[in-house]
Amino acid sequence: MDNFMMAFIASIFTSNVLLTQFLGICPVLGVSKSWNRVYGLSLTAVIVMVPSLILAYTLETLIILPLEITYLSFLIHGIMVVVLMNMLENLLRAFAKKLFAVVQPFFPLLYLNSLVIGAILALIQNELSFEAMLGYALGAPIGFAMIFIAFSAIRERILLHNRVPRSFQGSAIALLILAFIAMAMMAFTGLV
Amino acid sequence: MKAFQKAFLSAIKQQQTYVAVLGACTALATTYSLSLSIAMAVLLFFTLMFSMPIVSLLRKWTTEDNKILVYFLVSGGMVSLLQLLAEWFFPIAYEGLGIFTWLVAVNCLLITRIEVVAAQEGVIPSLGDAMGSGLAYGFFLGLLGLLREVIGTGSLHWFSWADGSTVFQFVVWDEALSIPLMIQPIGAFLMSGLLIAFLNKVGGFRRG
Repeated sequence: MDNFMMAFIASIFTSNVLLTQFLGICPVLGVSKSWNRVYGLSLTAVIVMVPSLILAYTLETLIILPLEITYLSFLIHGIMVVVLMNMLENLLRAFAKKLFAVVQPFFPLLYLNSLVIGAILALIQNELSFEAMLGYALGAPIGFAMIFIAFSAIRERILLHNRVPRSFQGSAIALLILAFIAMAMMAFTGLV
Repeated sequence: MKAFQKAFLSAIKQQQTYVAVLGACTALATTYSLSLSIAMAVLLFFTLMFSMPIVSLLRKWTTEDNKILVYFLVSGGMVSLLQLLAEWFFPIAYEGLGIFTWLVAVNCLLITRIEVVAAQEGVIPSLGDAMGSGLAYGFFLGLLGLLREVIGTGSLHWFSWADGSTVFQFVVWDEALSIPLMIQPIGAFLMSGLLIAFLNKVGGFRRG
């Protein structure tokens, strides 16, 4: 994983953040009831994750590693994410009113969530080059959105028919659907 | 004492319905081995026990604007502290948990319990709730870890968190009969889905 394209494809297909690292699975299980909300959350994830991953990489290489304060890195990145998301919220409110109306309800969901912070920690742990980091920063949210949209479409169909046994209703069937999506995605093993 | 008991019991009762959905990322990622899943449960238990009373004490100064930062600083600070202790005393468990040691701080279960209970009630009820939620979560994690490890490898292998030596090993069936898929991420989804359905059935058709 050392160039842009390889990191991009790997983060979408072979090491998807949702299916291999389980990041952001709580909003996925909680939100995926209607199409509008799915679309909004996926869009929010892309808008938030791309700048925060790039900023986190910059902070890590320029400040945290030279000063040798790795024991503070989690707190620094967490505060950075909260501040950045607040800033993005205000910027969108001022300059993109239509987009803001779509994504606004989902900002509180992602503030304290494993999706953004977990992706940052995984990025730092992998010690990628700058080019590969850009690929990962673009690919991780797109991979998340792809699986999330596929998952909620399947879930909506299953709910429509209402033939699920009572004890499987709710989160049990949702987890089984995710298992089958993960099995299908296994076909991409060895792609990169 | 009565407030503590009441909060403890209500936390355990509520767990049946939501343990599956909340805190899923750390639950699914670490349960490929029983030893690691118990380590995760212990870590989450102590994080809950330490951070909920602090948030409860700070609730008079927490407003709508600063609450996210307050929650994050309390839980993130606690996890940073526990992570340093874990790295010193239990390096093998710390390495095995990887990035999920930190992700405990933004675990949905922890954040929900903080927001619903600790930010509204006193210190004693939040301690009771922390204990109840932590134990119920630990029970679920232990069960999931046990099933996944036995089905995935055919034996139960408990290693010491401090130096990685085997404490006990118990062969259930031959390794050739095991299903290695179960200790992969797919097994986590599959096994937890089946386990939740089973718990729903036993617990009287509760819907999660």
